Amino acid sequence: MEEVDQQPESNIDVETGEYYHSLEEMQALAKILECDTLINCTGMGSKALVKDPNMIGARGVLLQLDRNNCPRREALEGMTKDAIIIADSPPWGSDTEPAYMIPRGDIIAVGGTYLEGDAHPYLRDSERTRLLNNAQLLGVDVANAPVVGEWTGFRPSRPTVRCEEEKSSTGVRTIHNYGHGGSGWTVNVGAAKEVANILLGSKR
Amino acid sequence: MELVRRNIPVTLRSPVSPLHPSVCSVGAGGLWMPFHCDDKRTDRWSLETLQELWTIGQNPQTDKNLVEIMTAIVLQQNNDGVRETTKDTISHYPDTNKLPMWTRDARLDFQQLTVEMLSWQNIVYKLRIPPEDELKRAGYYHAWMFQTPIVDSPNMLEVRTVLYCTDVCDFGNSDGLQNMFPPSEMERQAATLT
Repeated sequence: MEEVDQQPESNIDVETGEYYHSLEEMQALAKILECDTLINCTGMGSKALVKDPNMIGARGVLLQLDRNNCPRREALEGMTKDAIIIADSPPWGSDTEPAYMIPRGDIIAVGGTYLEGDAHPYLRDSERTRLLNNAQLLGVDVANAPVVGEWTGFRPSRPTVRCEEEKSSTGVRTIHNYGHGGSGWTVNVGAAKEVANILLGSKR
Repeated sequence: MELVRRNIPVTLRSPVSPLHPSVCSVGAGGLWMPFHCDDKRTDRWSLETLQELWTIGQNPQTDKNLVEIMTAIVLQQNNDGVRETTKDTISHYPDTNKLPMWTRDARLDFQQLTVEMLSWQNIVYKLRIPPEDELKRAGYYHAWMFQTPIVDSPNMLEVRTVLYCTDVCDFGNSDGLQNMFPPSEMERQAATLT
């Protein structure tokens, strides 16, 4: 990989609509596109693409409340500043069913779950009930707080992150960067620096 | 973006946009706090990421919608043997070695508190958290309190995509991106980030 002095030419398409079925297919495309390195950042997709048996989806569910119209219970009267609240121990929460509330942009995200191997794609009725109860416990006047959305996602969980170069005989260097679990927004910059250092041969 | 920062030409391919509902990062709470990421490099990566998010969060004039620095409260039944510490005393107590390494970053103002201490502080801070008596009735007698960035995930993904494209490519050649972000919107977003 050659560093360039001037603005690099780049080629971006983030809506190709094309799904790949194997690492080899991605490496072949990389060759066609005249890339000498492939960086695999496919998250849960790596389970199938690189046949990684260690990848497992850790299901998370959220209710989204309107942050700009979210009354709090009477007991919180006079309190004016939003805060994040997390209870991942009983009685309100647990490791697999933490109770939390995260004000984010225009919503308040109320969670949650961390259920490895649970592939159910939508919120279950029992989960919706529990999340509303979590919101009430954590201070929201649920009867008067509009729910504006629901979310189910699958954290790309792995015993350890895979951020390493894989030896390849295809002529295309291959670096993996996936399996960051529930910490994508917490580690993304650092993991990207790691990839860049691997690519450029820097030692840390 | 890290590769672009290092002047490495990048070809990026994704079947769906970063804002597609199938992308886990869009719906994430966006909280900065190491959670279920078991790797010996996690501490370093998380602090490198904190540096970037903190900078954005401290600069609301330019990135007001992307990162918000907020107080986090983690409720606990017991303190796991860690005595109460505030930002003024935390460095004096060896007990703090029992806490995760990331808690030592000074920017976070990390404190291990009893709920009474939390309640006293909240007379000033006025955080929207359950009152002391409710916490005690539930069995929560201790809490972590710290400052942390919250990423507005959808906005961050959109702006990063726009920034990336306007920085390193001629987006006029990318039909997909033109459909996602009309040029006027892209230009507006990019202008807010310069």
